[in-house]
Amino acid sequence: MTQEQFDSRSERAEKDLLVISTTDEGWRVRSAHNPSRYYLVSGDGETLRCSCPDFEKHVAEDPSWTCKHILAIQDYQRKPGAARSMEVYSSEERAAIQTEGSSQVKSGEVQPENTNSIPSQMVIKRSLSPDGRIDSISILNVDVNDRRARFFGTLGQIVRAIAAAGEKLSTQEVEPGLRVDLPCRVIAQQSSDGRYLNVVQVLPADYRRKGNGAA
Amino acid sequence: MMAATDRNKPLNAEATPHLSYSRLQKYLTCPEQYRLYYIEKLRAMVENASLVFGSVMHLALAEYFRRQIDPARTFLQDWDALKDVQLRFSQKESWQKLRDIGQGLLEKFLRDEAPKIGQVFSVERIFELGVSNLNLPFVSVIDLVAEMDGKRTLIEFKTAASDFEDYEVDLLDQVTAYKLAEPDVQQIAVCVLVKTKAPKIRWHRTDRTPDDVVEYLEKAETVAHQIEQSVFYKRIGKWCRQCEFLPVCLGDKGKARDTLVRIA
Repeated sequence: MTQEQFDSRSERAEKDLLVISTTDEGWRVRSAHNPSRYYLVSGDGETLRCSCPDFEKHVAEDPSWTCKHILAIQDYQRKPGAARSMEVYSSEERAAIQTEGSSQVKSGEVQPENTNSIPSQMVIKRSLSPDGRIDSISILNVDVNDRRARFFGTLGQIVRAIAAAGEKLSTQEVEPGLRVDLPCRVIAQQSSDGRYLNVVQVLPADYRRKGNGAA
Repeated sequence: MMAATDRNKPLNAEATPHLSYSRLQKYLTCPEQYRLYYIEKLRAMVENASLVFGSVMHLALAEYFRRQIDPARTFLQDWDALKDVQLRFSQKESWQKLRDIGQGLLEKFLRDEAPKIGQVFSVERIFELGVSNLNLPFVSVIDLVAEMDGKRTLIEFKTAASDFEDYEVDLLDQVTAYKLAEPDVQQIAVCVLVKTKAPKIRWHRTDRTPDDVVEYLEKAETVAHQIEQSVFYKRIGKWCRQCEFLPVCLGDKGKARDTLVRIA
């Protein structure tokens, strides 16, 4: 690839508004002007391939050929935040894939040590505040066996609940949609109308009841 | 105990900056409001009840489309849990009033509107896009993509005190930003859940052309550049009346201290 060819494609990549989305196969690159057509860029940082005619035409003769779509991906990878913050947002999506079913947990009971229950998962599904940082109205979802229970509290209380299960996070690290898979034990209580299961206290997974079961 | 894996390790928002419709919109409404919110990290100590109400409604609708749970039930569970939480209500609002409105709207939605929606393709899906004219990733969370009127439709739910005018829907930047993430949808529907005493739900159909999206991206580039250059100024308007940062702009340090908190 000559410098002139490279410059021409760099210029086209800069002129055209290219929109990049990450897929399982790599990156999908579309022009904002013509979004119905897209090309797929795949491979690692060293050997990227593109499905566009420009790349297909030249790569056999010149394996280092870079089309405007590959240049756009390389530029995207150099930018701050690219392909990293997705983890934060996709965690919210993953958190959404939860199931709700019946529960054997009764009011005020700590799950016994030797049941066949699935370890509880703590899931911060989303906060009620747009950025999840306002104290007093955050919700922590806890999967108790196969049933969803909820812990309502301040952000500080939620951080302490997570810490009780063994993961120390700062309030800043608690983002909407954050999911932390932490087996733990909980003291759960049915709501006054018996319809919902609320978490009163989170305890470590290796917590053992003393004496007759009092915590 | 199984520790959180690196994949699930939370990232500090500071280390993963991004752009989104709401960030850009905050800047466009008032650059000083953006600065106080995102740079100074000031927040109202007591959250606006309408915003919380909207979030709880969205949560209930998402649960319905994900798992077919009665949205009114989800709403009541969450709203009831907020009964003793201090929220900032307007003169016309109260916890009980919003409870009744939310319940009524969601019961009506389930009865009259939900049957209009066919196959569900995604619920509250998060997109992170790289855009060649922006230096930061652009993030969108789209309420619902589903089949409606026989078309793959991007659906945005809004809770509002009054219905939207058609021109507002046709010019709404939010759905333009979402079309960027979902270019293959055949139409866009905005479902307005109006917070009136008698529940009222209105649908608006719209769409965006590639030119609309390009125009929005050019605006986004301008705003992003101004943010990068730390161009912040007070933009005065009717919205100041509801802005939690008004005491800061008025130099009322006492009130600012009493009503705001820094989250950093």
